[in-house]
Amino acid sequence: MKKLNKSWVPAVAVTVMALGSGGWLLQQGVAAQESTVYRARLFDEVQRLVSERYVEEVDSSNLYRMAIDGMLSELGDPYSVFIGAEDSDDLELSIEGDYGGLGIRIQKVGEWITVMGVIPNSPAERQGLMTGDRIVGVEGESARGWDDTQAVDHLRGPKGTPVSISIGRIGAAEPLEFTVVRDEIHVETVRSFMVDDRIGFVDLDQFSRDARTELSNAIHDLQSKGARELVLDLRWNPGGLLDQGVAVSDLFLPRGAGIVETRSRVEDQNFTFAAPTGDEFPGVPIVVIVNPASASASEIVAGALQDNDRAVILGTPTFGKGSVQTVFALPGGNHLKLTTAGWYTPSGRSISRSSMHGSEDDLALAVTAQVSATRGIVADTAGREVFHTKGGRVVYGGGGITPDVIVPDTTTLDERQLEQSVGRAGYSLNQLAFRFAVQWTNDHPDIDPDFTVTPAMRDEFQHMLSEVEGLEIDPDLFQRVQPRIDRFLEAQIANSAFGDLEMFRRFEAQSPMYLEAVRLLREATTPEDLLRLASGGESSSGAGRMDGEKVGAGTDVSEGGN
Amino acid sequence: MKLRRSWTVPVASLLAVLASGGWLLQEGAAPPASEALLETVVRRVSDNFVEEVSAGELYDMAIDGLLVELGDPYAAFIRADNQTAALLNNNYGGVGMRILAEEEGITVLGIIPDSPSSKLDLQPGDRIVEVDGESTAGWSQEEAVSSLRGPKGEAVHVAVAREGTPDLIQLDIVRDDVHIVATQSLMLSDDVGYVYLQQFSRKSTEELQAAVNDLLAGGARSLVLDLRYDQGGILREAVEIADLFLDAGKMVVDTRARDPRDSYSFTAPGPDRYPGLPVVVLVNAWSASASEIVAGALQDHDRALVLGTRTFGKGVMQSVFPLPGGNYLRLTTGTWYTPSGRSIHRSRGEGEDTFALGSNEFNDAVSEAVQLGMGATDGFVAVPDPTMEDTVEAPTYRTDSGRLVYGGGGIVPDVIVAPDTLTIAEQELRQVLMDSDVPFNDLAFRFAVQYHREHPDLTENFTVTPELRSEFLDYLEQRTGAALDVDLVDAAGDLVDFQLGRQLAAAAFGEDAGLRRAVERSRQVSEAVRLLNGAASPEELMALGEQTRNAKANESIGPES
Repeated sequence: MKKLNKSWVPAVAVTVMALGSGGWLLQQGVAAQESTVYRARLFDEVQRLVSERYVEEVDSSNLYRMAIDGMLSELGDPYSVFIGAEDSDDLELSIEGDYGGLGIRIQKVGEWITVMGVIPNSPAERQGLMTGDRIVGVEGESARGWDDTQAVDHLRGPKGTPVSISIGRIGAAEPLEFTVVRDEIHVETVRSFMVDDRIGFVDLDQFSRDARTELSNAIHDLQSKGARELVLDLRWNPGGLLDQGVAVSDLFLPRGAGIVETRSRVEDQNFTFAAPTGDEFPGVPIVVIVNPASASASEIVAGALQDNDRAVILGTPTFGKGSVQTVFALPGGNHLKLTTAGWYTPSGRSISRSSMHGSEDDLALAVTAQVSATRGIVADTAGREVFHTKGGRVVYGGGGITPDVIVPDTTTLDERQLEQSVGRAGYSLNQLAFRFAVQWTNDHPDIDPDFTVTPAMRDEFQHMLSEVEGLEIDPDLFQRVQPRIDRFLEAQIANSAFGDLEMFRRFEAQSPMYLEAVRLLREATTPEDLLRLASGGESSSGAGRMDGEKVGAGTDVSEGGN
Repeated sequence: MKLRRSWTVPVASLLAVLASGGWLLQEGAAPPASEALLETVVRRVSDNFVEEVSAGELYDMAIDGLLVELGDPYAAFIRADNQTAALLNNNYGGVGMRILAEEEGITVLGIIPDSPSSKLDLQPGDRIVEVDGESTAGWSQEEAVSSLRGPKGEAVHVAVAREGTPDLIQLDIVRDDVHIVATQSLMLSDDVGYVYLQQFSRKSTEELQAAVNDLLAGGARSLVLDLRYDQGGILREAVEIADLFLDAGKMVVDTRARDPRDSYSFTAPGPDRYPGLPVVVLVNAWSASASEIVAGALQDHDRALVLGTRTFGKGVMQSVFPLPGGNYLRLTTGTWYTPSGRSIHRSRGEGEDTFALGSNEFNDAVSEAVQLGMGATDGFVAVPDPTMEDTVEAPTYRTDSGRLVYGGGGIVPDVIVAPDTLTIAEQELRQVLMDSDVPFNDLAFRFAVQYHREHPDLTENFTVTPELRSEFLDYLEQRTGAALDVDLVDAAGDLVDFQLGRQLAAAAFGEDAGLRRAVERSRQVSEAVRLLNGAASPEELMALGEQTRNAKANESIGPES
């Protein structure tokens, strides 16, 4: 790359003059062709030709806007974008989080935005909205066919303002009308439960403003129930605030331990973060679970704990976003969000895939993927730079955080085929199970907390499927995929009848990664013990090794799940 | 997996410092984007981006980015150091060989007549093992091609290995313009002539005229002009070719642009060279641009019957602007209209199959068609044709004599004849070949060259026997390492035999022999011949066409699917 042109300021002045005088500063030679002035002038020529000769008329403002957007796109970093004044509101909201909402979790199921869950102590809960409700209209406008983004746009707004919603509820002939006053919604980002009488499980959804506090409280709570070992689940956690990534790492590390370092071309933008307060849970063996949808701050935590030999990282290789963005204000109410730094783990690794950049779409895909078809993960460590943890273990740069223990999140061909079949009718298996569960819990209000999936449930589910438009599933396939279907039915019935945490607990209890994490913790008593087991001490087969041994069949490394 | 929870909170990216200390959130209308704003952004990025990038580079990106955002699929900024620029400057030349890059080196498949290579001791089957001293083993097709092309007048040194010759043959080939004849022709029956035009390049009109004259001298009393898969080319050639069949003064094409410098109108300068000769023009979804100009003009003046399937729909013109430093800007400047006033442009939006001519997708699609031997000379569908017959909402126009024609997206033929479709097995085989990147056509030709050398007693009317087919398949497997599923190949046997037969005919008996095999198999060609056999004049042909069209109503002649 060329050195930054230090004579930029005078060059700008020269450019302006040259353009003003309407003539070229004719310079000969290759050096001239590389000069900023020359290239700026070339751009100017192109812009003029497009403006005057393009088949359609495009006004000047649009042309410059296209040039800016296009330039940033050519830069190749999807996180560096121009945010026009018309979108500034959204930007502010996304950073400050100072918006008013209703307190519902929504997802598009078929044609309708559907309430998947209601957040406790929210306006929605107070007004009586329920899981399974379909949003048919907002402020008199039909909500048919809306996607998640449209729904959010219509539902969110300034705190204290009302919004009228029409709801389609199972069992109600006419739509129900609600008026809900928006309020600050505190979203719980932590879920936790006891696996058995010694192991606690805690899941962190994203690194929001209160992530550390909530996480700490939850773990202390588990400890009071007897937990002496911990599973920290960072799967599907796309990141969030940098300072929370640091703060969460700090929970588990001794005072002064390195957490993360940011490096930028701008001198005063380089920061090194070390643990300020110290390990709140000393001596507690920890397994951190990650997958390709674990990104950014999740990778900071995983990297810090891995490099300090504080925890065993388990799962599949992470997303690989090792960059930091800065938002610059521009004239006219516009903003520029730009990648300004890369961050590095304590051992000095950048975990970004290929370059500083990743793909926003990859992340979106990963987070929304209903089937993580990561069949047979090969930790492709060949050619990657080698680093060492504090204790001398080998770890790798680039390509996301490579877990110490790799557990493929496999799906069978049959399972994928089933998802494909339902996918053609516009659904996912999860959504269909949800739909079924809402109906089932409506018909069977007194479900036992220890319920299991019964033949009656399966039959009725199959019956429901046959009534779904365009859906045709081969009965043999259905049979072969029964365990997976059961898992979803169980989870969704738990969701409808007992809430989000119960759904989560039951679903996770059948996850290969969860099971392996628990197995390791049951064998270990100290963090050192755990590390030794994971490095191939006395651990039995099934778990991968850090030297990149191939686990499972196939050679795809599927990132982002699809 | 974890069940996803949908959030009403947005996903926040990893944000650190907010520079420049605070928001400048202004109320009211924001000033429009401007040069000053662009400069500010360029400065911010070059100062702060995580990787070093200079302001100059950013302006380059602004140019490329602008053209992308503009949405003109044909716009391009052609840099001085680029081969395309060299082409436009006409500095580049070639050697005149059809080649195939293989593991062991570059194999010569054919020598183009009147080219630098044709004057030297080179033959099909030769292998070029070195180019300018470098071994060619393991080169990709692109590397091979670009190594041989270069500045006109400059020589490239090659070392050639030939079976039966112990030492390498050392040759210097001086690069020059290589002209590829764009036409091929033959007699379809006693009195129906057939000519195929591959593209509208320099001298195409001359060549076409010579071919047609030859056919007439050979007894042709009607003509099939095949423009299927012809992507277009030079506008002037299109006008002159249309002119061959039109009376002087008849409008050929009219372009409209915002700037009068980009608008022009062309009428036929000379008389109809073939008055009274009934002509059928064959088109398909890959006939574009200049092909559509010709088809549109002949259709609107009732001079030819257009047959086949709806064309591509490129009804816009580009201008190429020279810029300082040897750079060029190519930009769409106008839309063109047929004599009856139709725009046949199909606008392809974002996300639609943007088969922009010259784009990778288009080139891939056409080369796929060609690779599998599905060139313009047969009617096999290479890709699904979504453009088939939806004229319900198309704007209508009238030809000179009042026949109905359509605008709004491609030329709709007067007589719609679906191409032969591939059977499921054949489609699968084609997919397998494409997926494994096998240059089927070239390999078949290569095999053919060798086979012919080993079987000099082959006659022109040979058939492809099971033994021949299996010898070829063995060869294919050997060369590519791709093991083809035996059952699949059996099921698609017809297709394999046809392609093989065609290449062998071409290798052993010349391009015409290969062409004949392809043409005789095409349903679209047969239908054209049928109509021509029933018409003694262009007027009778149009009437017959109308009859056929009305009889079919909305039905197209297609296979049972």
